[in-house]
Order: sequence, then C-alpha cells, then structure tokens
Amino acid sequence: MALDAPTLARAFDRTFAEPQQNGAAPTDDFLDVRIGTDPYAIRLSDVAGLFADKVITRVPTPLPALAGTAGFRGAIRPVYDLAVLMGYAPTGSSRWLVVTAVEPVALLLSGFEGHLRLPRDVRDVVQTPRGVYPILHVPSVLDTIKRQLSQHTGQKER
Amino acid sequence: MREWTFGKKVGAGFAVASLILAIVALVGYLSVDQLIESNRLVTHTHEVLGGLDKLLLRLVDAETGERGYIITGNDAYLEPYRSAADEIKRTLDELRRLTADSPVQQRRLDALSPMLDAKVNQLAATIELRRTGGLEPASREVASHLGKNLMDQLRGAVGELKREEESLRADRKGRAESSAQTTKLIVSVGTIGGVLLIAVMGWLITTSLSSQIGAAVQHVQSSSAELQTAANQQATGAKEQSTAMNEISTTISELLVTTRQIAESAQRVAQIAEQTASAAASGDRTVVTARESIAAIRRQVDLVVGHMLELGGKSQQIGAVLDIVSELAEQTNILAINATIEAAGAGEAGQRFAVVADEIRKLADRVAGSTKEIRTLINDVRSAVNTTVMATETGSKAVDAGGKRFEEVLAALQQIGGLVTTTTEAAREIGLSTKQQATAVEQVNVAITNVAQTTRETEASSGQTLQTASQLTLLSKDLLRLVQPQAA
Repeated sequence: MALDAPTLARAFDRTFAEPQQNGAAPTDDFLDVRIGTDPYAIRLSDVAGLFADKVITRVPTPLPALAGTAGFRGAIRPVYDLAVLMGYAPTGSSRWLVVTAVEPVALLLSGFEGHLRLPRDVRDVVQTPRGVYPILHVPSVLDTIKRQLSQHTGQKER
Repeated sequence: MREWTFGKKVGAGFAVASLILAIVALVGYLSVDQLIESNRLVTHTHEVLGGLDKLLLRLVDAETGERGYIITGNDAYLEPYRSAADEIKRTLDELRRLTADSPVQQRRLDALSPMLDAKVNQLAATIELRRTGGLEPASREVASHLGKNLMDQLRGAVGELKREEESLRADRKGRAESSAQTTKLIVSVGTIGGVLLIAVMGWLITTSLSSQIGAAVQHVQSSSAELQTAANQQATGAKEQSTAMNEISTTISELLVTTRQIAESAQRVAQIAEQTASAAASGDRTVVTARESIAAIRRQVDLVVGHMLELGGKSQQIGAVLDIVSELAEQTNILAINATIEAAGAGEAGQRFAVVADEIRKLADRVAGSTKEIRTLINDVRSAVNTTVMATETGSKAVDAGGKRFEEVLAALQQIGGLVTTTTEAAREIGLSTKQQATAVEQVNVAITNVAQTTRETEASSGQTLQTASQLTLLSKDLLRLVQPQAA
C-alpha cells in the first residue's frame, strides 16, 4: 500500500499547522470528466456543484438532449445530456451531474475522473499525466441549449 | 495252367511222366508176372511130363532088370529092378503132388496106381518064379503076354496123362506167348506214348516256363533297374541324412549348452525372484506407511482449504467494507469539490475554507487511490485465495488420487508378491525341467549319435545295395539272355 492511514492523518493535520502560502503561483481548478468516449476538462468556476446518483425524472420533450429533471438542494433543475449536445451517442446510465454556475441547468456527464489543479495560464487545452484534452466552454454549451430551446419555441409558436 | 507256379508246372510234368512210367511199369509188371506164371505153369507141365516119362522109364528099367535076370539068373541084373521099384512109388507120389490142382489128373493117377502095383507084382512074381522054378516057367510067364498087356495099359494110361499135360502145356504156352506179345506191345506203346507225352509236356513246360521266367526276368530286370535307381537315391539320401545327422548332432550339442545356460539363468531368476518378493514385502510396508502419511496430508489439506475459504470470506467482507470506504471517499471528494466551489463563491472569507476543502479533497483522493490499491490487493488476495483453494482442491484430488494410487500400488505390490512367488516356483520348475531337459537332450544326443552311426552304416549298405542292384541288373540280363535269347 502506497499510503497508510496514519500518514494520511498526519498529512491532513499538517495542513492546519503550516502557515498560509500567499506568495504561491495562482492556479485554476478543473473537473476531469468524460463526455461520450473522450476526456474533457470543465472549469470549476463554471460549475455550481458536483452531484452523484441523483434520480433523473424523464419528461416529455422534443429536445433530444433533455434527459429529464432532478432535484438539487431543494430546487428542480432540467438535466441535459452533454454527450448528445456534443454530438455523441446518448450517455444512457450515468451517475455524475454538474450544475452550471451561471444558469440553473444540470449537465449529465458520461464519467467523472477527478479534480485537476493547473496553472492559471491554461486556455483551451489542459495537459495532465493522462494526456492532453480540451477544456469544455460551458457558456457555449448553454448557448446551444438556449438556441435549441428558442428553435423549439419558435416552431411551437408558428 | 498259365497261373501255375514254376514248381507246380515242373512237378506236374514230372508227375505226368512218373504216372506214365508207373502205368507202363505196372502193365509191364503185370504182363511179366503173367508171363512168369505162364512159364512156371509150362515148366510145371514139363515137370509132370518128365515125371511121367521117368515113371515109364523106371517101369522099363524094372522090366529090363526082370528080363535080364530071367535070361541070366544073375542077381546083378535085378539091381535096376530094385531101384526102379522104389523110384516108381516116389515118382507117383511126386506126380500126385504136381497134379494136386487137377482133379482129372488125380483121378487118372488114382487109376494108374493099381496098374503100377499090378505090374510090379507081376514082375516080382516072374522073378520069384525064375528063382524058384528056373528059366522055363519064367519064359512061359513072359510068353503069356500078361506083363506086356499090363505094360500096354500102363503106357496107355500114361499116354492119356501126357496128352492131358501136353494139352495144358500148349494152352499155357499160347497164353505165355500172348502175354509176352501183350507185354511187348504195352511196353512199346507205353514207352513211345510216354516219350511223346513227356516231350509234349517238356515242350509245354519249357515254353510256358521260358515265357513266364522271361517275363519274370524282364520284371526282375526292370525291378533291378528301379532298385538300382532307388538304391542310388537311397545312397544319396543316406549321405544327405548323414550330413543332416551331423548337423543335428552339432545343433543338439549347442542346444545342450543352451539348456544348461537356461538352467543356470532359471536358478538366478529364482534367486532374483526371492529377492524381489522380499523387496515387494518391504515395499508393501512402505506403501502402508505412505498411505497413512497421505491420509494425514489429506486432513491437513482439508484444514488448509477450510482456512483458505475462511480467508476468502474475510476478504469478501473487507471488500464490502472497502466499498463503503470507497463510497465515503467519493462522497468526501464530491463534498470537497463542492466546498471548494462554495469557498470560491465566498470570496476572501472562504479562502481558508477553500484550503481545508482542498486538503479534504486531496485526502479523499488519496483515500480513493488507497481504496483502489486495497481493492486491487484484496482482489489479488481473493484471486490468490481462489487459486490456492483451487490448487489445494487439485492437491486434495491429487492426494486422493495419490491415495488411490497407493492403494493400487499396494494391490500391485501384493499382486507382485504373489506373482513373484509364482515366478519363483515357476523358475524353480523351469530349472528342474531344464535340468531334466538337459538330461533328455544328452540322451537325445547319444541317440542321435547312434542314429548318425546307423546312418553311416545305412550309407555304406546303400552303396552295397547299389552295387548289388547293379549286379542284379547284369544277372537279370544274363538270365534273360539265357531264357529268351531273342529278347535279350
């Protein structure tokens, strides 16, 4: 075993004993996720919360990306399948969801691999020990949802 | 007759010849006998005639002496008279005896006897008259012709007797001559016929025998040629047989050596079998011990399997706990990330909380990594346990199989023990049999040597037979040449 429990406990306790490092290089946090069959990174600042094993209730909808609705901290949010929005096949069964920070919308992930802390100068792609992969631009995704909703609404009004 | 044997034919020829000779001899004998009888009867008749002549002669002598005495008165002249008187009586008796077979002559002699007595008495009376009365009365007596009449009667009676005898003589002479002629005829005809018959028989026998003997000799010749060929083959065969016998004798000697080696080998096999039986018994005990050890191993293996299954169960429980730990770590991670998000939203006030959340997230990451490793290790342990259980079960099965094998080995060892005992007995029997065989082979060798000697003798005798057959062929040719010159 690489680490034992006492080592972990000591490391945890040490963080409180050590002084705060103000002069450290600024970093950004990312979520290491999988959409469809490809890995992506999502800025943590674009996310209001990460959830798992939420019950998604299917609703009748003409939008293929709308997987249903789910409850998050007492509020009901629509859940959109990122894989469908990104042009992949529907995710099917997945237990990982993120709620976006700017809109009350939940996005269904195909998988969640972990947390990434990278230097702040990262723009479009991230480089990790597992490889180089793109950063998901959440506002664009939300624009896409909105565009589809408006198209659908327009069609409905006509 | 064609089927008759040589001796039969010759015997038949001699028998026919002998029969003819016997017939001729018998007929000749009978004829000669009849001739002799006829001659005897003729001689008898001559004797009777001689006796009658002698009787008359004595009467004449007596009368002559009487007349000489009458004339001379001299007694010397009476000598013929005296001798004649006795002779007349003896001659008459002789005639009676000679004519005893003829009653007629006997009656005539009976009639002659008183006449003779009367004549003798007349002569005696005349002589007495002369002696007493002298010449004159005697002369008158003579002149009275009494004496002459008596003499005439006597001559007449004797003449009748003589005629009768003459008649008999002629008859008997004729019969004798007839018998002689018959004898001559029979002897001549019989001799000629016999000679002819013997010649014919001889010719027939000679012809038959020469053809028969010739055929037989030809058979003998061909048979002797075949015999020669056979003897030749026999000689060759005997030579080959002699060679084969030598080879057999050599082979039997080698066989004898081999048999002795087999006997020694059988003895060694018996010893080795005894040692093997001992080793099998030792192996039997070892196998029993090993079987007990195997049973102990089996029990230990069962214990190991039980412990391993228990270890698997514990590992499964650890896995379940680890699932909870892993889930806790994941939830902690989610919470830490969400805390980070919330801290970022709190601005400056949430900065230290962000640090704590970050440490909690790191801790959760590490716990997640550790649980992954533990899971891997648990899986390894469970896999190892499964592998160990399977291996142990395999080992258990192997132990069971080993136990069964040991049972089989034990049974096999016991069977080996039994078989080795049988083998020992068989090896001993083989040894004894082989010794007997060696003795028998020695006897066979001696017998073969004798046979080889006999074969050599047979070879020699075959050569002699061949030589004899060749001589027989030559002899048969010579014989055929003798019997049938034209065929030879």
